[in-house]
Amino acid sequence: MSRKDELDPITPSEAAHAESFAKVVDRLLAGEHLPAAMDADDRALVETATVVVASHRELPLTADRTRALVDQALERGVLGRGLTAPEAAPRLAEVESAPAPVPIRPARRRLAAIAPWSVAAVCAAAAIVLFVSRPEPGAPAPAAPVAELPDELSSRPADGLVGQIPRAHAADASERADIIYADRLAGFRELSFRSGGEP
Amino acid sequence: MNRSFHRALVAAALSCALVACSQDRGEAPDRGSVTRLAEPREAIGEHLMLALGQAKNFHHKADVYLARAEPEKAVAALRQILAIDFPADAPEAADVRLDARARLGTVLAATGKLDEAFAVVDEGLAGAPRPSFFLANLYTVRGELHEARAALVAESDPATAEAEQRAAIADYDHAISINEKLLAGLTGGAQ
Repeated sequence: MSRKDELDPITPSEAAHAESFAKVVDRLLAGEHLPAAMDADDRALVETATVVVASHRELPLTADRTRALVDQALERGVLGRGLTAPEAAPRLAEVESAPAPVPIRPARRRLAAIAPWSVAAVCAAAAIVLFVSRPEPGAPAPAAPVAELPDELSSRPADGLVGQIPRAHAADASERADIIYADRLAGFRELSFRSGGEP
Repeated sequence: MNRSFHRALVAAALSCALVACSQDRGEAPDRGSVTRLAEPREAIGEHLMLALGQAKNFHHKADVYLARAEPEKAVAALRQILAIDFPADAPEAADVRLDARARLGTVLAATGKLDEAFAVVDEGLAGAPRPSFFLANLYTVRGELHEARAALVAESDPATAEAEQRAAIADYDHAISINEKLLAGLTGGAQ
């Protein structure tokens, strides 16, 4: 449109056309769809006008309209609907292979849940170790080496010392008591010497 | 959560019980000392020496009393030997007591107390734990007592005298048998 055209007065047809164009823009901003039959140039002008209006003021949207727009955006972004097939396939695979969401649990609750089982596991392990490593029940302990005392150091019958008692000496118990005492005293002293003076 | 917690507690309790059972079973036997004395021989100890010393002293007292012609006191001293506390199961105890009875019976017989002498000797023979030279000697003493009794009644009661003499022979044979067995054991062969 030239400058000369801009200075000319608006004709009735131009005013009617502008009014109908404004109505279309208003209906579009209200959430309605564009008329199916519409000139391509007019359609482009309407979309441009809509963008210009939206950039200058906040457009109030109804709840249903807002919900519809969000759903449409999610479908396009997550599920790939509304995209071409090659663009949608990788996104579907990512969604289907993603791991199940793990609920976030407080650490303290998790610790309380596993603590008893941990204690039980430790006790069971200790029981198994002790059971396996126990000595054979009933198995005889290895015999302790026996230290055989020599005759002269041990309490023993006096037969070997005294010998057969002749009839003539049947009543000589006093002499035999002296012999037995002397013999055992020698052994007792030897034992005391070996133990450092302790009997 | 509660059910899981209870299950865990039950598992822990069962595990602790198993641990306790593992400890009860198969406990290591008490090994005691590394070396031990061979039974029944024990080392000569102070208790034995004290008892032997007492017996020796009482015998010497009796020697003195007999030298002083005091047989009653000698008998009393010899009776005290029978009451000495020896270590339990000490072989010397039986030997010393049998020997003391033999001397006591002889002293009693010498003082004319044959019945009392027989009682002392018979009591010793009944309680002897094993064959020994001292036991054989006590049979010999009883044989002499039978001889003494036989001599006492030989004129008044020949039958009794006869019986006493046979009893004496039996006792002597008994003493001989014990001596022979002991000598065979000591020498390692029959003589």
